[in-house]
Amino acid sequence: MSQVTLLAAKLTEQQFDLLPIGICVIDHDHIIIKWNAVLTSWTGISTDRAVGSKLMDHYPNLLSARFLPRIQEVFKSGQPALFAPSTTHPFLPDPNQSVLLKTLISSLGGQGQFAQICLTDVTSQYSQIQDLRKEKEQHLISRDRAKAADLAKSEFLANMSHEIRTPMTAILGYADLLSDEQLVDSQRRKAINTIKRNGQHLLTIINDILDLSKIEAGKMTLEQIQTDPVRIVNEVLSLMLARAQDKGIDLVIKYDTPIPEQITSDPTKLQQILLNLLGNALKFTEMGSVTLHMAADSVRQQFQVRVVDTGIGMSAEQRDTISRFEAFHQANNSTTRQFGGSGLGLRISNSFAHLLGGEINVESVLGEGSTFTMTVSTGNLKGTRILNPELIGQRLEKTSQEEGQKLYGLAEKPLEGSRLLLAEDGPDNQRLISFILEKAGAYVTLAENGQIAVDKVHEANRSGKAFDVILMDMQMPVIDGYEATRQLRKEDYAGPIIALTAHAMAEDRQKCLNAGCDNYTTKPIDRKMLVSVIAEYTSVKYSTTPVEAPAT
Amino acid sequence: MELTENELDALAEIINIGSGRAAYSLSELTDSRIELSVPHLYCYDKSNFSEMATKFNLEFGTTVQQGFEGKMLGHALLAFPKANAFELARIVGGIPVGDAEMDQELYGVLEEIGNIVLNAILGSLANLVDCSLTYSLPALCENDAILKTIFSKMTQSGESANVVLVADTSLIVASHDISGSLILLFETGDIEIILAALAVNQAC
Repeated sequence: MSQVTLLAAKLTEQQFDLLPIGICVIDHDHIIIKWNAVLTSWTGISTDRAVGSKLMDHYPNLLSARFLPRIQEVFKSGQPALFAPSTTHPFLPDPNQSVLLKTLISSLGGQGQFAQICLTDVTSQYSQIQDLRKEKEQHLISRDRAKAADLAKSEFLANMSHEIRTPMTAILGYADLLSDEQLVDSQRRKAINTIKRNGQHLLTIINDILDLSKIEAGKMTLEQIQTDPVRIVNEVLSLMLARAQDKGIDLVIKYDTPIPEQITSDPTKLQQILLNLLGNALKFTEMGSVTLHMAADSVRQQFQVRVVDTGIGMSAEQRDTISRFEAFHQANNSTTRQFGGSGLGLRISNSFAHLLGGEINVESVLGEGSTFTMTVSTGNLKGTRILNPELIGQRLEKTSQEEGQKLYGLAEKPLEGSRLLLAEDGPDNQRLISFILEKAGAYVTLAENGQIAVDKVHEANRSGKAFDVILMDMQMPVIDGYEATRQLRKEDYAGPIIALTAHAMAEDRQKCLNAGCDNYTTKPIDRKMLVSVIAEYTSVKYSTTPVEAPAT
Repeated sequence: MELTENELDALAEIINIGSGRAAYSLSELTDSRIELSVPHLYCYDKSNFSEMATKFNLEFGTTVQQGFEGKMLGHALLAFPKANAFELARIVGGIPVGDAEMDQELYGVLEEIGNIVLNAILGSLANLVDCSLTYSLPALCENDAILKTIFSKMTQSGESANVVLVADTSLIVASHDISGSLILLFETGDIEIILAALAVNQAC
């Protein structure tokens, strides 16, 4: 052999080892003739050990029907065989090691003498593909989510804008009408009633939105206190009684099981759910009855109220829509027009029920009526008295007598002769609240900010005509209500202070009480509520004997 | 050149024998029953290449190509419409639905399927004409670029017309019906060798 030929042969041999692919040559008996360095490093089988041995002794899986006929075909007809990485792993050094190899077997040298097996490591190539695929999938998912969220938000805003505009238009329109001096009394009354009704509706919507946004932000806080379920259901019932009577619908309460005297829950939320369910039932019932079935299961620690109406009912499809508890959905859009409501109530109620460890279920038959079942957790009932239905009846009678007394008291002038300080910066509210209080018989002194309020308290104390109750707005200029209250308490002022705030949240109540207030009432002002809260602190409450008017 | 209906039928039969072998190999590979059939064969020449490409939807296809030489010279191609190609690869390879554009994994499986099918068909033809052929390695290509290149190379090489046989193929895998096209391009004269062999076979 010439030197050049020798060198060429040596070079080929070197290249054979330097190639980044695994190369193995076998003869027609599958005896290994060549085994390059890459294969040694992949498989751990040295060239010395490999050469001269049978390939299938190292890899018996190649004898399977999947591989052997195709390898034999390479020798027989010279047709190449290709094994894709994902379908075959005949040359895996370690089954736990996920190396992906593309295998190509081709005839070498013709005549069916030899076959060359080429293995290419495509692991990194494939994992890159996998990564890219995952990335792209993730991207698509987040894009879809963002789109859906965006759509929901736009829908929400569009709906909300409509819901707010409708009552607002009525309020502004009728307010405009009121400025017409030619209006007769009945027209004026009608306008005022419309403004009031729409204002209340608007307030409901705003409260609902606040609740909903708190729920969605996961920031809705719950109270877990001793709650009297019977009292709450009956309160809701008495609030709705007038509406039911107006429509000529029977409002019935039934105790299906004995009921615990106390459960651990959030009374405000519970009341809100029941008001919503009962309100809906009355809204969608034109004749017949609405029945509240109360039941409790002390083993499963559940309290249940079923609101059964004989109203318009829902089709299975409508019921399914409602059961998803989406915002702004009534059974269909036309019912919104017919029956009003923002469509937020049920969704909020359902979220509340979940927060209270329960749920709301809907059953309905079109044209026959609907049943909404609220279940909430009762918490631990150990040591709680379980009242049977007769006992509940007796207890309620007593309560209603007390209520009656209270209402009788209100009908008189419940604040007759009491001296009140109203700390409030808004002139409209000053006028409105003073009017209400004076009508209830009180003498009202005004203070436009916290500082003036503190000064006036000092002044009144010095002159020996201390205020019976201070009504303190919390948001005021100079010093606010919280600060003014804290100052007064620091000076050992012991008289009752009632907070007045536009914030309707439970934690705001706590904030007021922490500052030293005795009680709390929210704006907008509910006339009866305001008077009755103040009356609790004036010495004349519930008294039918006239009190001497203080010298002015 | 034109082939008679009888000649086309006889050729289809030969290809069907190959298909049977291919189906067997594919079933081994996937551990599931696969049927592969060639219902009809068409004959084209260079003058109506674009007509053929349109008819068999080759412009947007995925093609596996394998060349052969020996007594006959030409190329065999297995082409699937892209969606079908990936569906086939997904079923056979058990690969989850992903993004087709960059799916090397699916390409790998398709290449192997193409290799198996083309080997079987070409094997039957080689048996028929009783010759051994040398084969190039299988290669995968998207759209009809590979077909155009081969076709223009072949038409440039000689004055006379080349023959293109196209067969409708239908692959049934796990109750999915996947259709594609099997394309055989022959140098001028090769088809006569096949036809002569067919005539001999039929005479026997």
